[in-house]
Amino acid sequence: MHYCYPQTAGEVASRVVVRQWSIAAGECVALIGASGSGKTTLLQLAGGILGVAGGSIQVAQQSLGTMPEARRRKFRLANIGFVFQSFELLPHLTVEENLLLPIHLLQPKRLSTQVQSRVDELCENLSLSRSIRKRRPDRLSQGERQRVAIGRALVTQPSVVLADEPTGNLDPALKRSVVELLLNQCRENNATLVMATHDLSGIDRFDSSHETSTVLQWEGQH
Amino acid sequence: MGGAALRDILRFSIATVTYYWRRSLLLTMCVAMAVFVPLTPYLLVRRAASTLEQRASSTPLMIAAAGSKTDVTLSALYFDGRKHNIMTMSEVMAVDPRRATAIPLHLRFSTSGVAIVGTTEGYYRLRGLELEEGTFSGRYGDCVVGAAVARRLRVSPGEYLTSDPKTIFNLTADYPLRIRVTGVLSPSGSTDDEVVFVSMETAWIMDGIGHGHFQGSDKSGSAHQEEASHQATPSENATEKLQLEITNENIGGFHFHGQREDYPVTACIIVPTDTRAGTLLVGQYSARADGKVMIIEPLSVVKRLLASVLRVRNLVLAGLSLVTGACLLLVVFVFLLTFRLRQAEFDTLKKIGASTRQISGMVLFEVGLVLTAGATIGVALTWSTGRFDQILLRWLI
Repeated sequence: MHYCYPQTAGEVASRVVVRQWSIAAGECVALIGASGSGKTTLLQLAGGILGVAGGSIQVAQQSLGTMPEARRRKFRLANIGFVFQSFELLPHLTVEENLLLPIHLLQPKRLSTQVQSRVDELCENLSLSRSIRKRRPDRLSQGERQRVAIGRALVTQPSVVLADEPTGNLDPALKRSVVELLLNQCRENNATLVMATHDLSGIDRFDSSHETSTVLQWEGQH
Repeated sequence: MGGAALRDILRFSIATVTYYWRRSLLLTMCVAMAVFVPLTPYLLVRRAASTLEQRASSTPLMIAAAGSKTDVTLSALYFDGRKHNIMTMSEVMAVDPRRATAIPLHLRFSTSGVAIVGTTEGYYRLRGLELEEGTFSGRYGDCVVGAAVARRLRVSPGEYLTSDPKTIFNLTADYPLRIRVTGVLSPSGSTDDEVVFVSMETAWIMDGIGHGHFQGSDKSGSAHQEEASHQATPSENATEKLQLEITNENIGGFHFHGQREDYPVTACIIVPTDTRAGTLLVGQYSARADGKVMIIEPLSVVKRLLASVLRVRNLVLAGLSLVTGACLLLVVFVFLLTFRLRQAEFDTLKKIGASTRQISGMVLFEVGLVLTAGATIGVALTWSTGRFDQILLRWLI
């Protein structure tokens, strides 16, 4: 599979090529690489945010490479959870509203008691108390924000969770607990986890780790 | 998009509007001003024009001494205290009762700054004025007051008002007269609420044409009586007193000097029996050679006046429309700018899986909320200024 970066006038085209890379269902994988090595691009391709220029990409038995944008979006909403480095919580929504956002986007109807109890359980696992759930992100600590972002990624019970340097903005003490939390939650839900990171601490907790350089190759200007 | 989806989008939009409350408030006020600024003068002028036309159209014809038609029309319709040449009662008496009803008006005096209108019962019938309490004037020195006057001066039947002196330096001038309030008119929503009505005779007594005398030994006189020599009737002796209040005891002593035909009248409303009679009257007065009296069609005078006002209004509205346009343009730019600043939020929504339709829905609802709130405030502000249309009307005339 390969992906071409959009180029501006005068720029030499650059593209990344992934010969072959497979991850088993339920596996927790660390994708290691320096900044600018293509980790984010790879995760966005796997999540269907970016469309492949050629080749195929299979996620949860679905071929994302040939899927039109609208279907890719729906597939992503239902099957893939994203955790971003800078949390990317919506500032005008409360913690609870941020958590429930994917559910509202996916199935805009009144929440069933089953969903509500699942959210309560998730919040309990993430140590998000009732009072925290009523707050807006600007009144949360960095650790709390990342816990909310993890909760948002897991709330739809996705089969795949893609985490793009989720500990990049956290202090060392928090890093380990966030990674633990992410791994535990994914294992509990039997979800496949791919976490991009350049930090090698805690790598031993993953089922396997892959260097970006071994997964993808750059062609053209990089 | 289902009802639940719309509800969710609306909820997210409300959350956004309240979170960015300073921006929302600024934009809402901009929209409110964009609605309020051009709408208010437009509606006020339209309402004032309609009121003017309505009153003018219920006054078919008028006759008055030669002069400014506009002045006498506004004076007779709105009792605004404009000075106008006086005609005599003979002109009123000359109106053929088979062709029209003549309703004389005497507009010279005031009480506590409120115009005193001397007229006949025909005026109440013409304007459809009814009493809220009390009775219509029964004798000289009685009056009925408009609803607004009763409220403002806090008077009710049985209480008294005193006419304002025309001058405080000339002792030989008209004396203030204490007039008894016998009734209060029901609110009519017109200038009639703002005046005091007396009979023509009472107005002439204020003019000094009618007066009374009693002997100094008479104890039945009011405490407000003053001792004074009588200028108009030199044959009467110095022990007689000029009456400043008319009571049941002294009313018998009141009398008028001169011929009724010569008594002053400011204007006379003419209500023709039919269109033909009206046309004949217009022709008759227009053909008069002496030029002492003119006939006026109040509606055409008011329409001429309004034509100028409306031209000015349109000019003002054109200017205000530019301000409104600039205001709305500012709103559009601020929205575009904030959407650009919030691009990261939209990108997050896209990454999570929101469709372009869902994101556009949120943005449109957000814009709609601000526009609706602004327009509602603008309309509410405009509505609240509706009560100022009478003030504008006064200013216009």
